Amino acid sequence: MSSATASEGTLSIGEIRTGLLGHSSQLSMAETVRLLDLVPGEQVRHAAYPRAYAVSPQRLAGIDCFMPSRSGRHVRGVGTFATRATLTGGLIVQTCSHTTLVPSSRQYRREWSHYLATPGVVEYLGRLRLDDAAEGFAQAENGHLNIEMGRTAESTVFNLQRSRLLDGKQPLHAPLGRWRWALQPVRDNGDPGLYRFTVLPEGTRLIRLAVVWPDVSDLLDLVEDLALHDWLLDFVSRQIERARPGSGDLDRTLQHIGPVIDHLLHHWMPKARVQPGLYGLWDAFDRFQGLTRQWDLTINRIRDHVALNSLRLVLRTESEWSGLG
Amino acid sequence: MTEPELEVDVLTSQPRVERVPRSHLSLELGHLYMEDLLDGPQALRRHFAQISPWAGFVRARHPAPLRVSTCFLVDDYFSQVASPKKLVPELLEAAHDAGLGIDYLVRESACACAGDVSPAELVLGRIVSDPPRGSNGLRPPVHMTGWVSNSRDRLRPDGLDEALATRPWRPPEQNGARSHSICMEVQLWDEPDGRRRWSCALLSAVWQLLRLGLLRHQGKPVISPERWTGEYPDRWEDLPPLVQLADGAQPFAAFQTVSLLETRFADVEAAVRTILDQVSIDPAVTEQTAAQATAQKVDLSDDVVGRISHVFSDGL
Repeated sequence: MSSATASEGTLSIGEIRTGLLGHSSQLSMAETVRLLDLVPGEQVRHAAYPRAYAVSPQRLAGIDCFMPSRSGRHVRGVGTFATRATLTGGLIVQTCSHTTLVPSSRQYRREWSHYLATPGVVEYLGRLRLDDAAEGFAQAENGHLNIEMGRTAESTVFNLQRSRLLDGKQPLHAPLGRWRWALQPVRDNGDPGLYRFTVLPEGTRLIRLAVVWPDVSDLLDLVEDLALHDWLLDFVSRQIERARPGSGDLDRTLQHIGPVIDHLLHHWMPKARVQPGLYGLWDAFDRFQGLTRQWDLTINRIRDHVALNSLRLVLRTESEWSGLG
Repeated sequence: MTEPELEVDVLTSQPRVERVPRSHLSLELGHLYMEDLLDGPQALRRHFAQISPWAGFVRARHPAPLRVSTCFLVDDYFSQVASPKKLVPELLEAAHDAGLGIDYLVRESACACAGDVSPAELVLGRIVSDPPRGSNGLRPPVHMTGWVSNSRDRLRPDGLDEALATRPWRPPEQNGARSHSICMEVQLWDEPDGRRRWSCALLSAVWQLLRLGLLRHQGKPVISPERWTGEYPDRWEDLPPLVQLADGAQPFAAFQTVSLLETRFADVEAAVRTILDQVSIDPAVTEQTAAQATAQKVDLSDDVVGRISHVFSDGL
């Protein structure tokens, strides 16, 4: 795990991709461990409760480039970002590339092994305006990202999907969910903290938080959990639209709703991997975005629809029987 | 209502890495190519006589109770000219005559393959390339190119390619150079007959990491010493990868290493440092090693390259 600790003058940024594994059934834990072997010889961590969940070791990439900025400022940074992959319920794959920007104690680039001693940290040389960097990365539509974490997270998903462990016959075709986030640690002075959530026209979610929480890897778990549930809600809602309930086309409805019931609904488990101290943030996000309310509505809609159709079938069968008599 | 205090362990399986016992220092008493051994026991005697004063100096800097273990690497990877049956007793005798004891003997091929595990593959998977200025995270990975470099890729107008020859010459540029550059490009393997042959530089980098006790496969050390007491076999592959030659030897792995080598190895060892500069250690192993060092009041450098030293000498 990242050993980075958030403190003042630092900014943690990252990109998450969420999608469905290209496989006909849930992957067993043994297969999951083989799939997530991103760093040979290093261990994949996993848990069976409250649901199957596994995290790969983190792979590093070295950078020496300008830091993100809204205004186009050129502040150089040197270090590494880390990429990890997780599998939830043997089916939902997430990759996350992330790093923590910290001020350098020198005004020049140091020997490379210095940066490898603190993995997942980039030291910036010069004056970085944290707000400008955070806005450029995770608030403005046309900010200068400069670090290619999104493409790395995405290519990691694609590489996983090409694994020989997978049969490529997924029950559902889901688009990749894209999240970009920036977390600024703040002093605990009772402020509610900054919170900005933006959805770009092509669907990418941008989230900016200012939080009182020292451990970056806990925050990573939180953001991944938010991204997973947001993606799940978004995808299930789309499936319902495609199913066109009420159109009378039962086959179409079953084709789109059936796999959702079989494979996805039971993965809704908010905060399953979030530290209790961060529940408040999850709940605040939920309050603003109404994830749970929408989910409940969606689920009820599916259940009502299934119940209604069952009733219709029963009536139809009865009338056919009576017609015979 | 007050909230109950809850402690939630979200992951049941934290990475567990096996701890290896460590000496304070791993002292390498030389490294010989098989060809060197063709000159017979005299060459060995000459070698040990040359390094003996340096060994004495290093030992004096680490008096008991500080723990020092000694080791010797035999190249059985690139060629096999002498059998262990003949070589090992000669080696031990020559060292003994120079007042040196060898605690551990390692076969270089063990750095390429030790049982089911390839330590070289493990290290390759841990290389994080030193990024030239402007790198934003997208570079061809080292496992595809087979090269590590400390500098910006350069253009070589060597006259063979007209397109290249017309472009102006651009100097190479060392990453993070303060004023002037020293550029290294290190080949990690070739494939002369379709099979991968690791370079001496990569195997020597593996060797340093084994001595530092920093390599694990699924949490377990990749090689462990095996005591050998009987007659030495005819073939090197019949010998364990890491042979313990002396009873009561201090642990093989150590917090720091020093290698006493002839000057002709300076190039290879500079390449080793270039490689090690780009190897990221399993964070769980890093953490455990740091805790072990703190408990034993050892001042340990955070970066791996800071833990290895060399003495190059052709005799004074």
